[in-house]
Amino acid sequence: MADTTDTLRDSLRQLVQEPTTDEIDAALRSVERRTRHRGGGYALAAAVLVVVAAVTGGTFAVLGADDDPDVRIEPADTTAPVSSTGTTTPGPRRDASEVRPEVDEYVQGLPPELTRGTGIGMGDDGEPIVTVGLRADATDVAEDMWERWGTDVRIHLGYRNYPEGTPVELECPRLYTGDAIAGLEARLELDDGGIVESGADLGGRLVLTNTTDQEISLLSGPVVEGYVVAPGGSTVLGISNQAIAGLGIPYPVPAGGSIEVPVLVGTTACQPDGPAGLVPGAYEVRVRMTNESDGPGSQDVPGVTARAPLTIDE
Amino acid sequence: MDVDEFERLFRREYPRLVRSLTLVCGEREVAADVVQDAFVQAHRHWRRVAGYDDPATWVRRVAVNRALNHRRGVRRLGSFVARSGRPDRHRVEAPDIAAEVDLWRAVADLPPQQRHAVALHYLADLPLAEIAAALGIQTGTVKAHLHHARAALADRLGTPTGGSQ
Repeated sequence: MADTTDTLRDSLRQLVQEPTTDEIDAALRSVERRTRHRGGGYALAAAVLVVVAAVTGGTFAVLGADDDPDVRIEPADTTAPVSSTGTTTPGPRRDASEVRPEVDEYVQGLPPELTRGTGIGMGDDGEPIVTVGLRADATDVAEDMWERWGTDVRIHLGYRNYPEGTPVELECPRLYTGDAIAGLEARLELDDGGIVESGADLGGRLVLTNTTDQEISLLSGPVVEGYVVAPGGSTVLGISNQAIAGLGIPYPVPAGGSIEVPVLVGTTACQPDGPAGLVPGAYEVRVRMTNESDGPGSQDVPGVTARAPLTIDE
Repeated sequence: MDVDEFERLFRREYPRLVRSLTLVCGEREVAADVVQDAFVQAHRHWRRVAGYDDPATWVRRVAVNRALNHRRGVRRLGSFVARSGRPDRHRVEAPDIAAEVDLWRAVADLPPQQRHAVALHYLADLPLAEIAAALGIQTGTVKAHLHHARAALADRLGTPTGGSQ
């Protein structure tokens, strides 16, 4: 047994060599230089130049201590000045009430589809902390926020804490079962041919047709949420991390008639392993609605279900 | 900042993280970028990171998270293998290129968590508990990943399955 694993270890080590000492030295210098460039040793100079740039709208290139012309201060972004304490200055975490307005202003400047709301939660230290939700693929935004505010802000990239990647405490929903509602047919149609980028949401519609001579009233929120599973699977892998307000909206399907109910499909990973957005590939979307008479949140009660193939792209 | 402490951490963790994440990302340069990014974050927030129980765990988590989000790793690996037949230009010698390509392909076909577990176990020499901390999963899950990965590799490569660590 041990021989086999030793063989595997040897094979892998032969496959991938360790960096050389020179490479390690160069990497260390690169890390130190990048840190200085982005607000470490030059934080004060950057702060001054940001103020100047705010007035003039200019772009500045300055030489650092090592005369490296790569040191560049970009046009001023007045929504997020060099943090007074956040990313480079040691000390206790800043008060959430002080940080919140800065974060709100920053978030308002983001494309709305990338944001998932801002709030104040309880930090690990028992003190309030500003919490920002982002779409699972908004890695660049998360990185920028982390560099601006560091641990003063809790960043949720999808259902992962950024930058650690630890899962946010969350229980993936399960697929509910129950008898089919007699006389009700459902067809799920997804936008964009059922192709979506990982981390993004996709719209669609559930077309319900009542073949009986009596109205059938179903219940949902403003949209029906589609759950993403593996093809033919029964474990929910992906959901939307958008807040969907309202649960108890009736959708009456007239006798012999049809209605369309909007659908929202999310590709945010809700299982604790893996990246924040579902890994690209072939999946399936499942939606389910139940009778209005069973009330909101009903689980294994009669319902109508539909499914459609989904392709998650990079 | 305790520069010495940061540098010690860097010199200890950087080589093995680059090595193991090369196996995950499929390209040495990508792995180096991912690990350097993690250390840049640690350096910028060193006063806080240094105060954690184990700063190395934090750095590994950030690096692994970045590697996990590097979604094109497998695709790049596949094209790299197809292009060159020799995945790692840093190799000193290639006694059996065909066998190496097979091994790369077999590793690339592992699910991401299994690939990470194999990389951190066999190339970074991390104990199970530290692999679990780096991946944010239970130690038992790491064992399961390693078990399944070994079985899959043995199946692909035609070698006996190792049952122990």
